[in-house]
Amino acid sequence: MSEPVGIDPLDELRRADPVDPDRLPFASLARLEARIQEAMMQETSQSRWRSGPRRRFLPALAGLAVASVALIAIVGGKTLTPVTAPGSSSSVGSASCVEQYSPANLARRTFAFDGTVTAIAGDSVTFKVSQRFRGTPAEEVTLTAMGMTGTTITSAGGPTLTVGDRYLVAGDDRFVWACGFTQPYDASVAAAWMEATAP
Amino acid sequence: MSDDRRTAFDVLYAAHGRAVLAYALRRTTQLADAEDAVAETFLVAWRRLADAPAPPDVRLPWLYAIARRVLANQRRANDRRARLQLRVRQVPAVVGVATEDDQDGPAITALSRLRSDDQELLRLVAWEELSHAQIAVVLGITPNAVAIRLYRARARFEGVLHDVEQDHVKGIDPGRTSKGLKGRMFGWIRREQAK
Repeated sequence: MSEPVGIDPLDELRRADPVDPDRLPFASLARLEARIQEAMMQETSQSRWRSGPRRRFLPALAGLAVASVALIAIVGGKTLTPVTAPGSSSSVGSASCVEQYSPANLARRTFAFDGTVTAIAGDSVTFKVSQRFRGTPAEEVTLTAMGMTGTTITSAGGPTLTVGDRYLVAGDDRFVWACGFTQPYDASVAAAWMEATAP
Repeated sequence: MSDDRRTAFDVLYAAHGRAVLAYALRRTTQLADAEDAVAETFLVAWRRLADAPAPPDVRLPWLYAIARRVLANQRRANDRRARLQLRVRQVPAVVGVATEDDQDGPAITALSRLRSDDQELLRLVAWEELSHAQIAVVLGITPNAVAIRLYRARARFEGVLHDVEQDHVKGIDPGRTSKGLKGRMFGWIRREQAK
């Protein structure tokens, strides 16, 4: 959980930016504006021409969509049910999270603890640690909880952390992970975390 | 075409047209491809104008997200075309000739050696100068996931950059191992500005 030292390598990348938006070729911008205007005009005239006949097919398309959804749901005579890991507070798919919450993925985090929020400053959150499952040697720890403090767009899979509330918290390095890896405290989930993170 | 819709689109284009062109230029190897991508991006934006986010600071990331998908489709189409040409004509792939202009610095070379998702994340931070929340809109992931992925991508970039700089010190030219992105960009812009 240490801060990187020395020159920020991203500064070198910033200096290497191959394009200056203030010096874009005028001819290119002019061509683009003309193309976009033309495409919009074409689009508008085509949509007017199409709008009548297409409406007739809408009820049939809607029926087909409903039938497709029903077919997918009962495929093989089985009803599909969402699979949720124990203690998961998230319905967010793995596509928008770094990893899907599961006991196995929880066990790979560098820290996991049960703690109460004592302070929030921007995306930095200070926790008073009640029980350590992994890492976090200190009794109090300040971590980055991006998207979980209400200062930025709140991430799906939250939760939004609140001073005074108790949470089960897991993550890597100095980052608190969302998407089920951090969730409001629950004794049965805490027991599952203890088991999942046991050496 | 309603006047309100048209006005809203004109405001969007006037505010962000240049930024989206810069975004496309940074991710293509041909000026024509960048222009195609921007034209398609704004045509999609015109069709989906009702879906445009209201907060001003999220509108540009919304356009970048469209441009990202347009560029991905374009790359797939270009790859298919190149494979087809190779099969049909039985001609060798065109190999670029390195020139002084095509020499990239260590940062560009290091960037080109990373995974494509790391590259995109670092470009969005360093070149588009987006916040974590804005990057989340572009990539369709949570701001929390952005922070974690960026931390890792930054560490990988730092490691590769160090290696590239060491190669440079030893006399191994990093420009020969990269794609000459910066050189080509400046080349286009100089040629276009001369017109």
